[in-house]
Amino acid sequence: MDALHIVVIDTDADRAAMIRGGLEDEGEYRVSIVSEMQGLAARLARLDADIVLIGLENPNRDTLEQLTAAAGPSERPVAMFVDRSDRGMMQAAIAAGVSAYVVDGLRRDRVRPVLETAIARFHSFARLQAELTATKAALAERKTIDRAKGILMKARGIDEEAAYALLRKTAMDQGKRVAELAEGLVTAAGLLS
Amino acid sequence: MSLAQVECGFVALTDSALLVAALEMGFAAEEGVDLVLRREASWSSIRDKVSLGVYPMAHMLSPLPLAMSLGLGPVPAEILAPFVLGLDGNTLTAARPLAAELRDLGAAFGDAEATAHAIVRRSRRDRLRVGVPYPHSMHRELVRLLMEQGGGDADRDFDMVVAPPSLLSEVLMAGEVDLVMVGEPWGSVAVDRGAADMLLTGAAIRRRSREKVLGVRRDWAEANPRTLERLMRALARAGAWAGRPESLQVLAEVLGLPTYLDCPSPLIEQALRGAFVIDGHGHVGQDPDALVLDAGPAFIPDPAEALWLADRVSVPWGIAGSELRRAAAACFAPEAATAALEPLGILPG
Repeated sequence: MDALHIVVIDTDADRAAMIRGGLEDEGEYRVSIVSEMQGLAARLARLDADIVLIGLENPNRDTLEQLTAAAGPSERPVAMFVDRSDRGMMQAAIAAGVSAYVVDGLRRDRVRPVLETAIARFHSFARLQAELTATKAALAERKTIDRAKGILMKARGIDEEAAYALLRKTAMDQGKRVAELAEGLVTAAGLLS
Repeated sequence: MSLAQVECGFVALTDSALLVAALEMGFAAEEGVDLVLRREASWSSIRDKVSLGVYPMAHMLSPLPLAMSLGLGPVPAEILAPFVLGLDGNTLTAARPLAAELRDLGAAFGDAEATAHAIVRRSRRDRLRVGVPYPHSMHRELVRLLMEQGGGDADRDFDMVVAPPSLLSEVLMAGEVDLVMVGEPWGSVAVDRGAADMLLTGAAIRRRSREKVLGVRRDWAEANPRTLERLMRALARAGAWAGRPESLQVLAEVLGLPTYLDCPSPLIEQALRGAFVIDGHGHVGQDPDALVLDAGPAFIPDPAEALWLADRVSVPWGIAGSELRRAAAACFAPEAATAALEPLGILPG
């Protein structure tokens, strides 16, 4: 049996690489990545894929729809998802933000593991993104808190530890987060200086 | 009063205006509906999420509920189109050099017949590719009608290509398509970026086409008739508000926000006012009825229009006319909106 040819359409190179890595770990697949959306239909026709994976947020999905709607004699017809009966799989894919186009007639047991891997990788990529965003926000907060401590140390002639304790106590009294209070202090100090 | 939460998908287009205005101007809340809007990048995503029940309804191309109900797509689902969200609202644009050629052949903004003849003549010399946003769309029917008006045949004389609206200017500049029929503001955006000239409004090809509808899962509509009624009233009131000239600037500003169209509001205002910058010289093309949001009686699905659509799409979709007509009558049933809008004094036209 020939290795399935899987085409990943993604403008995000990191995510595409993650999906490729996941698929290559799982089995014997030939994986191509398309990151350039120009001439997508022609490119896909040349690649002659068995399975196409594309993010739900990609507006070019509607272009793939055309391929499923109009299959000329030379084109290989593609159908969305594994098959119509596999609702659970479709729902999982939609929740993960990935959609799959599968060549007509491809056996379900060959498609399932590919889709499972893609769903898992889409989820872990989203998680990584969320962590990155959270880390960035935490870093920014820490900077603000450091500046607020500096302002307090200078204005009240106290050391760093005392400045932080004061910030924390005031925040608790007011039912605010330390970062929130620090932000207000930095803004106010900026206005007064 | 506790509000009934309703999630609804939409695509970034000027004719998502009634949904956005119903939410942002408070009409939905006043009617007791907590409307939550979810933007999608493609009609395929709208289709899949509604048919898999991620949310029960969405802003849809008017042929889409019909296509979904007939099982054209991965998951068949019975979808109703109880309310019309707008009439017309599309524009036909051409890559700049082609537009100049077409004008030499007699094409003129507002003159659909002369423009159609120019396009057909030009395409017979060198086959043209026409971009539309989705296979099952009014856009495709407008292109087919235009070609018929010019003595041509869209299925024989042209290549139909599906291209995403928001990427229209890139697609035109990359030379992947020659002409595009698309919903505003994306035609105006392509002109603004220097990629295209505007040839016609969709309304100049056919007036008062039911362009977008609220597409609702039948099972949800049957389980929540009161909520659907309230939502339809909120949408009709949003439409009446959007139909006042003094509302247009606010409406354009709100639609332009990053969460909605993420587009400069003057470009959105063009379709709302029916005055378009059509080329790089700043010429203005007028069509006051390019997009009708305050549709009045036409908020209510019109059985005659449903039959018209069914007959038009029979050939391109490859489905028997009788089956299409039966499905269209079920999708576009006027009763629900008639009952919902009666208290507002809106009756079927």
